[in-house]
Amino acid sequence: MKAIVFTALGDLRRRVGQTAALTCALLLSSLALFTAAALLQSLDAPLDDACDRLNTSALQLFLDGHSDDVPAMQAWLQQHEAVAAVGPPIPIYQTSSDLVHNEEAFSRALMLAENLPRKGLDAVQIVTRLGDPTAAAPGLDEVWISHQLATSRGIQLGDTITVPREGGPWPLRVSATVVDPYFSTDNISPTRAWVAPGALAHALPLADLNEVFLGVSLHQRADAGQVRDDLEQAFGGGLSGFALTHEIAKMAHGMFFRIMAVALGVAALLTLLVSILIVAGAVGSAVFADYRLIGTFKAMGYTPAMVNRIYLLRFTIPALIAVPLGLLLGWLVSAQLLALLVGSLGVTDPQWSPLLPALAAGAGVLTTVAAAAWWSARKAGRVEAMPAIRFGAPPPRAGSHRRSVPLGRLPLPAFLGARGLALNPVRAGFAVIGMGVAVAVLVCAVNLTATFERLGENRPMWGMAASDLTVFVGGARFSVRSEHFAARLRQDARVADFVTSGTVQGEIEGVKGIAGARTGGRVFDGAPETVGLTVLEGRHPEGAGEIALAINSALKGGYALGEPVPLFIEGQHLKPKLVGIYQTGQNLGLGFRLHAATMNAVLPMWQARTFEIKTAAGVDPAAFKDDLIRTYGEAVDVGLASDLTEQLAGLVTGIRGTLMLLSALLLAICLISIYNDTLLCLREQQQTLGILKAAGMTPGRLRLVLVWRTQVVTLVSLVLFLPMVLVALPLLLNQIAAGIGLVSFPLVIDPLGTVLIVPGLLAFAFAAAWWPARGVTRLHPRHMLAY
Amino acid sequence: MEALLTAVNVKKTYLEGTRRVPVIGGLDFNLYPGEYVVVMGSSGSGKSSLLYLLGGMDTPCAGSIQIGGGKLEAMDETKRALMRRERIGFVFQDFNLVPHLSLLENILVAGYLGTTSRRAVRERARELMALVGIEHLADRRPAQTSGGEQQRCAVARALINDPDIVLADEPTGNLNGANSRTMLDLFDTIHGRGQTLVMVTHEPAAACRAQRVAYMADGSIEEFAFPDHVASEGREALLLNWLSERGW
Repeated sequence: MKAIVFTALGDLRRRVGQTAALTCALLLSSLALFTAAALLQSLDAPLDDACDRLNTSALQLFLDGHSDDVPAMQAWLQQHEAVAAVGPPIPIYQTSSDLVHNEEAFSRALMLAENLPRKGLDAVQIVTRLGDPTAAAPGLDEVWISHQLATSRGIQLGDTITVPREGGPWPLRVSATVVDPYFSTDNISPTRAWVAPGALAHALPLADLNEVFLGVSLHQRADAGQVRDDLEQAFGGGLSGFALTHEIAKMAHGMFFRIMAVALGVAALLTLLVSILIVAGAVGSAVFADYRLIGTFKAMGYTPAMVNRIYLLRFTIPALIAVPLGLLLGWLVSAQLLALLVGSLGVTDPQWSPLLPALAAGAGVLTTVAAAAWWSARKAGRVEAMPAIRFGAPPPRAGSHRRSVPLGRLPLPAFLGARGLALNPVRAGFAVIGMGVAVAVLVCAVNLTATFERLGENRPMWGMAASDLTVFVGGARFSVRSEHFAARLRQDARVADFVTSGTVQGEIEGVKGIAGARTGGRVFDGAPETVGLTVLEGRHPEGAGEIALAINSALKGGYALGEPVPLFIEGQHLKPKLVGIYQTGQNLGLGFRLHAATMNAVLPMWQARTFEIKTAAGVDPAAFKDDLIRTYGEAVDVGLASDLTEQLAGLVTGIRGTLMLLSALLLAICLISIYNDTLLCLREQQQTLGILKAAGMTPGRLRLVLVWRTQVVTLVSLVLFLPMVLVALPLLLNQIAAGIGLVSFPLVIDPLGTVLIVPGLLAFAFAAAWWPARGVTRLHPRHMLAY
Repeated sequence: MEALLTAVNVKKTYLEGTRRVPVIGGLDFNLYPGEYVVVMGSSGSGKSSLLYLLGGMDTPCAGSIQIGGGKLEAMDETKRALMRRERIGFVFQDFNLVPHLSLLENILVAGYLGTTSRRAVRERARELMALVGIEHLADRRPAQTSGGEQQRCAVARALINDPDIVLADEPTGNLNGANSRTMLDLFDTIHGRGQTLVMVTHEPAAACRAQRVAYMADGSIEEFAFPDHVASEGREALLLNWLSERGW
């Protein structure tokens, strides 16, 4: 064993560059794997702990006190065996327009709740506060906002948030920031804020005070969905508000970190794959380069197993250095990320254990590297001593020459680079796969970024109308009748076309969504095709008694075209015929579309009050919006299509950032891989390069021989993987996104971006290989020839 | 006659760890067009070092080497490579053929470095293969041929760019007697066609085929020119006598 360690260490010293490259790849792999494991392990615990600490109810119901029988529901819930306690009804008010902070409007919906005693349920934790530290509730014109809202909006204690209301602005002074577990994320809207007991009744008209919050504590948090469904069923499916469960809150709270953990996990696995390719290639190359040496070892009495162990040890030593370093860096990164995660929950110490992620990542990387090294080093054990010592190289394989690249058609460096690849086809294959992974990630990154960036232009495929303006007619104080507004639009030359619609809630038998059995539907008074909306199968409803279902509603309910769909809507049971199936990315692909005639059969006074308007060519939608507001004032609420782009900016930035992180990580690994491969090649082809140098090949062209090798690998990867990924990506996305209703994922292929990957990657590979290839100019030809 | 190659007061020192080991100290050497010169000397006397210096594969620590009017020591790596390509052909003791190329390709690879058309290079390669007697082995790889055949290929490769000088470093060192004689005959042939040759060898019998012998000892050089009137049978005795006087 001593001899093996001695030999392996000697070999390590000989190949410092290669060892450094491998160490870097394994370090990145351990870092990413540890961080992914740590995040996935620790994502849920902080919210669970905060909920335990504050006795947060696992089911939070937000009901309409006018239409829902809240006292009866409260009584029913108290009798339910899964329920531990039910809090008192708390009056709430949801803002519907922009808030104002520091004279700047911001579009965040607030749910103002009166901070009444709640029987110990749903306590909030004060993080910072002004005034009396013992006060149990905010003062009359004060508000306690979530710590997360304060942090993300830069709201300080003492600042004023102005809430719009019918009687004029309602300024509320921020007197505390609190931890309200379910609302400790920007992913749940509206965000709850607490006002003084009686403040809502004091500040708002009675007509606006119809909503209440009911906290329901359960013996088992997991039962929240079942209790909510039971409640809906017991009350005839007529709940008018919405429900928030512990599971939904947990999913929303850790969403960003979960996506990051999955992205890091994928990156870690890809990095590990490339590390395996590096190890396999490096071992193969080392065995090739050491052929005569291996023969000498064998002549000295080394057994095949001992020779194998030399290479196993030689490539495990970098892993033994890289893995602890990677784990240490991963621990630092994870600690920072988890601190961010728990910061909104008012906790400074994430209280996580790095042991399990360290064991998983460390053991995973070490085992994989050792297995790859052992597997690749088996051929070292099989080397025969006599021919190895005599010829110093494996005997040429019969027939391999006939398959070689012909000399005469390619530039000389390209020919030599390609021929060098043919020398070790297995390693060339590994290099092609490694680069292919980078090609795949880049193609995904470019086209997914384009897809989300151009979401605004591609709305119908996401289930949204492709209109320039959306106008809702029906202000709280002043209103304009739909038919009058429609008549004006028909006469307006600025309007190319429009369709009216409205939203309704209904229950489709056999279909349940995340928030209950009720599903949002859209009713059109006209052809939805006017604003680009399409169906996957059939057509849109054209009259009463017809319905189109969103794909997941159709699949969950098992409904086919032509079949009746049992629909409970506005207290009536209908059975419209299914005439179309469409896709939408909203509400997890659940929903339905009706014609206004169907609604009017149920509610004769029902009117579609949302106008989706397409402006005529050359008309500025923003100017048109201003004109509509000047003309109709509060009677209309106008939204621009471009607002959607702004609303999605955060999402697009997040997705782009994640994809860029993934691409950067993969390119870093590729860089290491190319660096390593070039060094290996330099070593393997030292004699050939020496001969060429003696024959008069200039240093620049000698470097090009090595660079061309990488160019050929990159080119082959691009030729193989680029079309393959372009074909596979839409199919894969269709499968992945089917769960959220996008069975035909609206992927936007960015031709320019995709084409630019080709020169971009070739240039990257050129640069990555050019640097280590400088080694060829440093070698003395005499040493190269004596090699 | 103007010298093709001139070395003036050339010195070369190698570093062995921190120790400086002088290999060549103040050497002068001239080579004229069409000459056949043999370099002899004991092991470690600097024969191969001299060859690498003359061929521009290495640079002197002091002194000057001129080939065709250009000073090697003033050239950068790229210019020296271009000079080698145009003016020098190398033949090595270990043949140094690229193992994964066929014999023809080994010759073409050197030929394609220049600006001559590929068709012309291919035709010349075929001619040279015929000249050295390996035209039937064009598609064989080095490992599929004998040492003598490989060395003949190396000679053809050295000649492909029509160099001013062929430098051969113990070209028969790894060959058996018959193959050595064939190789020396080949050198006679190409010299007979006007090629300037410098060959390093340990064998007096091989050296007798040259016009001049440069003997290296202690980093300096002494020269011996065969008198014109001496028949080939008497040349070896003369040379051995001259060499023994210098402690060979």
